[in-house]
Amino acid sequence: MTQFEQCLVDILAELTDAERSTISLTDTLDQQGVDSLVALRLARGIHDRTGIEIELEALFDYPSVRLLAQHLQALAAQTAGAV
Amino acid sequence: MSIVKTFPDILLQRAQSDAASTAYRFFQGGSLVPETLSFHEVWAESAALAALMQSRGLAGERVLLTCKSQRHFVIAFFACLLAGAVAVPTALPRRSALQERLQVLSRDADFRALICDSDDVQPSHFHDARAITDTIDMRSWSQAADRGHWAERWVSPKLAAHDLAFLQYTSGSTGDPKGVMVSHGNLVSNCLAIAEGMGLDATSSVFTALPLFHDMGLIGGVLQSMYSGCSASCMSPAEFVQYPERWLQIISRFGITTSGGPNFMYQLAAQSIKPEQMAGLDLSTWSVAFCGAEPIRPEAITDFIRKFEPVGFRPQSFYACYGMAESTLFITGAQCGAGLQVDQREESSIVGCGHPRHDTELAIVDPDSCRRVAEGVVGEIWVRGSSVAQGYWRRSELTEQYFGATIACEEPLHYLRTGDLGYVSGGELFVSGRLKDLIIHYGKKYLPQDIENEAERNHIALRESGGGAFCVADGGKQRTVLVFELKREWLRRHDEWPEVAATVRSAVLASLGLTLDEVLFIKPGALPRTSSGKVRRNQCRIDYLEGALARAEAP
Repeated sequence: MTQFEQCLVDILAELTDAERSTISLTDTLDQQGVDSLVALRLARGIHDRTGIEIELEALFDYPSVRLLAQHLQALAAQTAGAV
Repeated sequence: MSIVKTFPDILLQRAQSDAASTAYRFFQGGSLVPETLSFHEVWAESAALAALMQSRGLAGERVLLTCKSQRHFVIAFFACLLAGAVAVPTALPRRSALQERLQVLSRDADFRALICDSDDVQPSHFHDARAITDTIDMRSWSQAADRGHWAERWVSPKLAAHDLAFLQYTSGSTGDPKGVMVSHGNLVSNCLAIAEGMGLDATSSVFTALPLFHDMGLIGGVLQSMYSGCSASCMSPAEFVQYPERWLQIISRFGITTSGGPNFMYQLAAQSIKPEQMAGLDLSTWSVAFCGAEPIRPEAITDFIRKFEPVGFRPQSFYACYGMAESTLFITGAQCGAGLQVDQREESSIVGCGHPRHDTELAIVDPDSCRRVAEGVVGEIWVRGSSVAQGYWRRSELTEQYFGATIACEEPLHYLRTGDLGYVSGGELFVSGRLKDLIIHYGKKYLPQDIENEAERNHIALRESGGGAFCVADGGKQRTVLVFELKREWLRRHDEWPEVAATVRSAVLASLGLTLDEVLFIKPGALPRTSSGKVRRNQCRIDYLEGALARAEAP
């Protein structure tokens, strides 16, 4: 698991009251209990832990832990590149 | 002869007597530096837009209002009132379900014009684009150089108390929209009732993080402050859910006196605000922390009190209230300063929601015999008074049924049937349940039928009319459960059950925006039903909790 995947799994496990081991990297987020309210809390969790602010639309465009982690990775690289 | 004041009169009066005072603050972002509007600015901007609307013949017409910016929304809503147009406020469409809702609204409300501020909404999106003759984009209108001249052309509309002010579409079901017809008289009456109930006046200061297009944020926030002559501060609900600490930081920094929302706001704040985010908070100005719109859980409120009492939150500020769009907003509210009142009934703790205000009257009635029941006995809550709305838009049968109820063996006065169950004890209303098995999730109402139908439509494994959706309490949380009978031939295809459940959950989430916490399959014929074959959802819940449902089990 990449660092961002790990981080997303941690946040999701906390928000959906699930064991970390039951969170799937490839199932869609909505299958794992991410509704509009949880999505907002997820965005907040990402901001708190990584400093990255994501658009909520990103959760629809990158609808699994794996895809979203790759998106975060790309955003982080962009920011690092800009500095 | 007394002349009924309406909101146009009130706006004009505030603009004259209180021109420079802050009417609205709009917060966005962590800096907590708001954009503000004075009472004069609110009047000038909305009168200009109202004059434009009048010049286009929109007086008396329905106008759909959907704005991203809260500032745009407030101006546009007041402009509709000032123009004598009938606003139809709704959420900004983002997901497909909301787009669908707009289609349904356009068919039902039959609006002629659109006020928006986003490219996501265009007349061409609607089923009958030709009927929408006008679109006002608030982004370009706010930049228009000639706006100042328009205000001078505004003509005060001749409004009677029963003239429609706006249509409040009830949340929940997407397929069966009901537009509550709220009149100008209703608005003023209900604002008077709220001011009386919550002790609001020009020295108050209101904060809301509720959607402005819906009754609690619109009437309890935007209109109430204008009525009382105080300021209202607003933040988007999405920002609240992401950054709940900002709610309390704004209350602290701006000396807010009156703020609240559904139970879940208190719960989220208590659960997620970290001690370091509470540094420097002073909640001692907060005198009315109202809570309504969904069942109030005493544990959530006591958690909130325990957490925030050390930073000045006064437990007696907690203020339970009860209401609905059909009565404009507010029906009953606690006595200011009384705090949380809980009645232990059998196994459950029921929160007292105070008593009616202004000219609102309650009756507790047996829903079958329509006779009034004795004090302390549970029955359906019926309401009458000048806050009760005019009915459902173009739904005369439903209007008759819900707004024209009469109590057996009494004078034939018309009451509103709320569909809620409750009892009165010591003059206080206790709301104990619902007639219609409504599922309320984070303040939004869902009809269980919608969930069951959506599930059935989306997988052939499910038996026709074999589902029951309901909520169960799980500690401080609430879980939404759907039980469904499998067709007989699917009983042995147990390796495919997880896929059936996943399909159903995705479909319900996509169309209704609701997450099912559990999908449970039962054997064909195992669903509790009435003798006429209707699902008994409360029995489903009881059987589920007792483990008495005949689950479909893999052999």
